[in-house]
Amino acid sequence: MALERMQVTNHERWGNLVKTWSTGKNYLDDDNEYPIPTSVEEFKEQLAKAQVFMTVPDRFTKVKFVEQELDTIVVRLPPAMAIADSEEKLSKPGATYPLPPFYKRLFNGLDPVIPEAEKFKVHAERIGDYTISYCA
Amino acid sequence: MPGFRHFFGTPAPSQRFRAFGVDPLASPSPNAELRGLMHRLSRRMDAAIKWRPHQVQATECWENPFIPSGYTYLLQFVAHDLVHSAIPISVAGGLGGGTANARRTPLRLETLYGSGPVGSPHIYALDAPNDDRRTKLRLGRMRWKENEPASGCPFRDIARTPAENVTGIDRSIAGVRIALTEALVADPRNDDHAVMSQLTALLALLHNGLVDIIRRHEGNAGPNGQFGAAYRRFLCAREALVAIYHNVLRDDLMRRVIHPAIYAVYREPNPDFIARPHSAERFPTGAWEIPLEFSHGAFRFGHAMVRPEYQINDLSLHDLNNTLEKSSVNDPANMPLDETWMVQWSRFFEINGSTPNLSRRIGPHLSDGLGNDQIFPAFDETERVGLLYRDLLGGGLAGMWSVDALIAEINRRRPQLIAASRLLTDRAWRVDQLREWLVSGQVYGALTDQDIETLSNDPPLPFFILFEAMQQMDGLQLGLLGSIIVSETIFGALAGDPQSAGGGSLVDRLNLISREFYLTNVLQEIPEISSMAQLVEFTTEIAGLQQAVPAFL
Repeated sequence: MALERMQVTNHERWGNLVKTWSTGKNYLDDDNEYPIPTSVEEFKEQLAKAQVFMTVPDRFTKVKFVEQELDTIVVRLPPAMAIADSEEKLSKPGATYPLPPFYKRLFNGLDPVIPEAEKFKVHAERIGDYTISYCA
Repeated sequence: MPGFRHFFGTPAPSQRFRAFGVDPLASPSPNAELRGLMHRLSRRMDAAIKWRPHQVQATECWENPFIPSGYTYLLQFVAHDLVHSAIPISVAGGLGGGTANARRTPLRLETLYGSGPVGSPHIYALDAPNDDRRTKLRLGRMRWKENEPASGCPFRDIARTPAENVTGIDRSIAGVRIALTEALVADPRNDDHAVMSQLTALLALLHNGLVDIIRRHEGNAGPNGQFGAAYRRFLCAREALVAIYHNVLRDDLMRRVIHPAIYAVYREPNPDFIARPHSAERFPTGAWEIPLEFSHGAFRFGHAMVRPEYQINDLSLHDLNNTLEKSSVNDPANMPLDETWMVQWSRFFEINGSTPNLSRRIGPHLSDGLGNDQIFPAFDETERVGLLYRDLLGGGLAGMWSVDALIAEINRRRPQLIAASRLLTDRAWRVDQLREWLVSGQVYGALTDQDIETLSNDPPLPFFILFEAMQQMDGLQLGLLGSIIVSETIFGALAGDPQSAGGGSLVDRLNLISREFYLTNVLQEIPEISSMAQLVEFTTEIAGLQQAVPAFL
């Protein structure tokens, strides 16, 4: 069975929730409190409060928050199984490379087309980028 | 309100749903208390349901192995064929002119055919260069993301077209792609999203194939008879498709979603309906009215069946957000649909041992994608986004029968239908069950004790139908109350149709239909079709799509 992934519905709200956790200032513009969750259940409850509508598969039983510091390199290694799962999906001819919907808005409203020949190149570039980037 | 009625006639005020003991119809707008309560209940329903695991390991516990996802969208199509309002009650804020139901002849495929080639010519293809007759439904060419073939793409999408606006608005991407903002379909809701428009294209392909079959058998009408021949051909194909559709609804769709005991009662010829509004055997043409308890109560259950993602074909997996966005209204610059959206129907119905996408189990929880704040933005002071709040609020504002009053009335008229359900017959137990569930996830909705008391004693109907399905049927089918309301409405509409009410096999009905228009049976090569799998297989064959690329079957 293919690996179930987390899926975000409302990306702006998700980003604002992350900013709220990071800064302690409420970016959601509501009356709720958003302390950093200590369990998956609390994590899900806060997603619901913020109306993020994120699908969190049942396989996730723990949550870990990593506060990055400016003088420390943090390399978040994805699970080898997740990479293998993506590679298997992408290796099927014609298989689509999924991108969050806001990319389309950034690229002039057109659905991004990743040519067949470049799927693995983009896959590697994105893994490299998200593994070390500061998201701020 | 025109086009709507109540299930057992208009309820007395004491029989209507109330929030905190207040009748929303007697309460001054904007019903702030009701909105707050439905908001908090919808948030309680954000908590995922902890379903019992299936015995089959390959099936996720939230999936329903008995209902492939194609039926979710057949249900949506049926809803479009029963109800058509200009504005939802939830957004309008109450019952009024804009919320009237314009669909007055139910389940006759008006949602596909509109007013026919004369009344709705824009949805029909030209049969002749001088445009004196139209018989086939329009389709549009799909698009390949890369490598556009010189011969053109196949007609696998619904038809779409650009249109210049007097307002000067242009959604095209200059120099790159023209926005196809207009879907050429009879009912704009049939382009709500990619799977819906693909289902519409499937039925259009079937209609067009039926036209070809009839044409092969009808003989030569001569130069002066071509218009009349074309119209007969169209009407015969339409009646044939309606007959096939009714057979599928009765023998396949209803069998899957309705509680077996209720299905057995209503599947019989001439069922003894308990809520028929008309004294005559059949309702007068154009006088159909739909019960609000169906349209704004029970039939909302289909929203709970929507999956978070779909394997559209062998190569393309799309999440629900992408799927919902793919329409001419939401994404005109990326129309027509490309190959990644061409539905391979064995992924949506079980065909020759295929493993289709499975619908969600039915319960008080919806897929996260239905909380999309771009497609279902907030519209009132609660700031609540998503489809669920709209369903609950619309039900609350419609002045529907309360759950208690519905059960009491069914118990008075036909007690044997619900005798087996403790949830329906033991009120104290029902209230306890509801209270227990509401309390168990209290943190999600921030429900107050007062909220829990009013909701457990007087649950909103759309919520209760989902709760009943979860509690009574493990989410695999509707419970008894939901099944009775849906069966009364759908089997009632079928019984009111002269063609459908006659009974007999499909082959016999097609023979009768043909002889209304021709001396012989021009429909004799159509087999007995009583399931969506058979409908898809037959369409594949008559449309010559066995080897289609992208795959159709």
